[in-house]
Amino acid sequence: MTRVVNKWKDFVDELLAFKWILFGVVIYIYGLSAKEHMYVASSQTKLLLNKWDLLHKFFGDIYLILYFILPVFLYRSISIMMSDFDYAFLIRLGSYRSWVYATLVRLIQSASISIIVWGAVSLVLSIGAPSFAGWSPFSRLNASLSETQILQKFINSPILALVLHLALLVFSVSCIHLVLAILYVKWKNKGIVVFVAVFIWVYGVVSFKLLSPHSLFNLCHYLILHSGAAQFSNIWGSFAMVIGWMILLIWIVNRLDLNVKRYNGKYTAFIVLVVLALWSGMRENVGQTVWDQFLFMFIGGSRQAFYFKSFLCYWVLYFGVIYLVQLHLQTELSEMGYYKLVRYQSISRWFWAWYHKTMLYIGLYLFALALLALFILSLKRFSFDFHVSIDRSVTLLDMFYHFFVNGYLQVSFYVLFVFLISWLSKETFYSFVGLAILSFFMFPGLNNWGIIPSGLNSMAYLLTNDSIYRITIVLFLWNVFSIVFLLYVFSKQDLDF
Amino acid sequence: MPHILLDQVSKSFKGATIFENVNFAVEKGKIYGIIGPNGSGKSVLFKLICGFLFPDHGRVIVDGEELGVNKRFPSDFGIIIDRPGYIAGKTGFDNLKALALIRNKISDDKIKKTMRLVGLNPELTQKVKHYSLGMKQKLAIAQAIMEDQQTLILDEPFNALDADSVENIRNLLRKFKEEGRTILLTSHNQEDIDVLCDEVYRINRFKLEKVKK
Amino acid sequence: MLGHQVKVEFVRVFTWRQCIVWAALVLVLPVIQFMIIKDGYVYYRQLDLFLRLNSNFVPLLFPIIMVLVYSISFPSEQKNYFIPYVRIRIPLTTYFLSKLIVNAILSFLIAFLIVFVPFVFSMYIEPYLGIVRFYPTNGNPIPYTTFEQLLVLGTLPYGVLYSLWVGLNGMMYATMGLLLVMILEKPFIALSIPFVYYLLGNFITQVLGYDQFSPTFTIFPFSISQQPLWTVFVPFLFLCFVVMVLMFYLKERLHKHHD
Repeated sequence: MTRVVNKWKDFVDELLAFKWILFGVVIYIYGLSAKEHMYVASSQTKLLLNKWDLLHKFFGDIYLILYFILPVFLYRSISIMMSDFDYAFLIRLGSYRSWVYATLVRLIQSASISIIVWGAVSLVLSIGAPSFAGWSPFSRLNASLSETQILQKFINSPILALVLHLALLVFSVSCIHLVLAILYVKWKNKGIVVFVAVFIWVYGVVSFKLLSPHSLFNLCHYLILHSGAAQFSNIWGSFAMVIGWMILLIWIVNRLDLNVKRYNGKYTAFIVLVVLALWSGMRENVGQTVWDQFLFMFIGGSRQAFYFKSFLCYWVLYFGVIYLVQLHLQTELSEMGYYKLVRYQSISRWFWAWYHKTMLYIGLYLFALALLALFILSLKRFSFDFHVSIDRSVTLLDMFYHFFVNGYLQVSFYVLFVFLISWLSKETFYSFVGLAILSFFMFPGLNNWGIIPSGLNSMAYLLTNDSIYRITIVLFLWNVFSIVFLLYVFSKQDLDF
Repeated sequence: MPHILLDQVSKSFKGATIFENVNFAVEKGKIYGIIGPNGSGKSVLFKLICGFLFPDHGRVIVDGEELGVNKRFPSDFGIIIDRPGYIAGKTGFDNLKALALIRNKISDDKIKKTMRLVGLNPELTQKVKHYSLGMKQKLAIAQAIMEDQQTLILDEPFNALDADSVENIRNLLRKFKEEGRTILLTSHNQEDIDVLCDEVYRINRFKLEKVKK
Repeated sequence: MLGHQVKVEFVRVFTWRQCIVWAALVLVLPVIQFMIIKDGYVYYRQLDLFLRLNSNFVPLLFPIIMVLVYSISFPSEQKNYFIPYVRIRIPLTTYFLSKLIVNAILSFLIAFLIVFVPFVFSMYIEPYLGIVRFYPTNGNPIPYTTFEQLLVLGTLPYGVLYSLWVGLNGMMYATMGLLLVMILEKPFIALSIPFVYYLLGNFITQVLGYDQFSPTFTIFPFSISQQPLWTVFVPFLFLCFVVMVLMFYLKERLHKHHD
């Protein structure tokens, strides 16, 4: 209880600090000029504005944010880090990770105070404007004279728009703080952190001034909601990017304290290839919705439709992950000896311990793949309408079912297939050869009845007359058969390493 | 009921007959020695007892359960078979820990204590791939005993060990026997057999013959 | 000593079992491909049959086939601690070099035959058998492919030169595989890298829109329109560069690796 009271006391003390009064004064002065511009625009268009137009102006003005708000937050971020990076403090926190999060909490606290002051000043400035009643006639004008004219195209509620904008700003600033904090932990050099902070600010200004408004690299899209909405044609594109970065940064922060000597490049290389495969899978001249593109990304090949590039993408996305499984399998098989087996009491138990973990990762991989695909798609100007426009008979449910259920069963079969060959031949490389041969059956004319379990999870099957439920049955039976055969081999085979 | 029973077991391995209609019973709490010339089938015998190989005919029964029918591998067996197996890129302690985690019955302290017992330093940061043959053998012994396994199947446990280590391991095995554990071992050194074993069997013409001590 | 060791390696490797494996590598895939394509496709020229015989399986599996010729046997020497016993009898560099030479010769021959045997069949044997039906063009354009520029020298020279080209590439992939096995301690990774390199080369060039420089289409250029001959040397030279780097790396690591 005392701790909570102390925290509130600190919060109020900071709120009443002189710097925030100065902050409020600067916003007030800028706001006066901005308000005047708004009224001029309103009178020129002969359309009434309301308090929302003014609030969104004060909170979302690009110049205010780039030239004042961002530098203030950057300065605050650095000053928090400098003051809190003390060994007595660190030893009590217990880890660099905790320190990073502790400074982030302090920054968010400062950000909250700034928003309170900002909001208070904005409300004062909006005195006299017509009251809040949804979007004003001025904001409904199909132009870009104000922030609200852009936002009202994407969101019905002005208050929600404001909340989302502030959330985006706080997320972005938090990301920037995490970057600076990670750099400071790694190098413990104030100069580097200050340099990077200045670089970020300069980059923000330069990207705004010089890059096209539709450039993905314009920092404004990730600080200001209306800018991001105009870029991605939806309000979620900016969030997707920022949250994606945040997840990556949190992952890095969580590894700050680990004594990781060897950098495992194979996963990074694989992720890069997956991103490349997904990106190249998009067909921008065909289909209107993200779901059309999602389908193209995983189109693979069927007996009726085969494209070499899609086949290569399939290889990367699905056989690529099996390659990683084979790498683990090779280690597992070469290290497994009598000593390990005898502790598991049976080969099946050892196999299950390995297999169920692998299949869990495969499930997570499919899920992450879908998320990554949608994330990449959100960067483009596709509609998020919930239908597949290229073939109306294909529903989203069909698509997700085929992707997840048939995808999981197909990959599960690949795993069992490579395991069987590696186990029987005692050489993992032969399973690699086997997989390459299995992939032949994705070529047209070689799997006419659709019973060979190769590439059956290709999205191309959604566009043919094949039943996805028949594919489920085929894959399920192959999985069952493989497991039964495997158990038979385990029970009958001598073990000789 | 014998602890381990080979009932009319026949086995050919890689084209050669190893055993024909072998009957062999192991009682609890004794040390058994198995001797025979190179290639006579000592390792095959141990693999049959542990369930790694199936007999072509006959049955292998451990504590009343037939291997390959009721279960594949017997419980609570500590084994050394073939050359020592290890993960080359890890330290000795990490190797033992990786094995111990499977059943998760013992603590890190127990692993370290076992390593010291066999004459290895648990704090050594050297990777096992740089161990000498004797150190690898000690590591193999450590994994066979660290979980207080009640039955020990040890194929040439004294290989590559110096004289002091041999004496140390012998004392350890004697202590285990007093605790009621069952031990089967092979050795080309007759002194190990004479000093340790309660009963000795020789593999001769595809059969196990009891040797009078 | 090197010459003698190369002879020893050849004697060691030429077993009946190995010859059957090589025969299978040369014949099985083209035979399967022929059974699939003999009906259902429109052929204007005898050469079209040859081009289609070299589509699908062989282009896809090419680096794997090359690795299966000889490199695959080396890991067992590493696994079973054979190499240290070798090096007391012969310098390791000589031993490894002899293996690389034998691997290069054998893989070159197999790759050459994988293409030349179907060529001979398509151009000189099939016309007598009359299995495949040919159609008049009726004004339809014949899709010419890369290397057909060599037809001006004659059909047989084209076949020989093209097969030599495939042989050369096969030799490079096989050498890459064997070098990696000698360098790395993990045979699975070493043996799979040539195929991964090949596949990723195809993937990246396709994604960037430079199909004409993809490894597959510069060795088996039957799915794209005819390109200038110089284009085939781009990925080949890059491959040579990679192999040379691996050779230098192996030379540096040789004794350290097997101490």
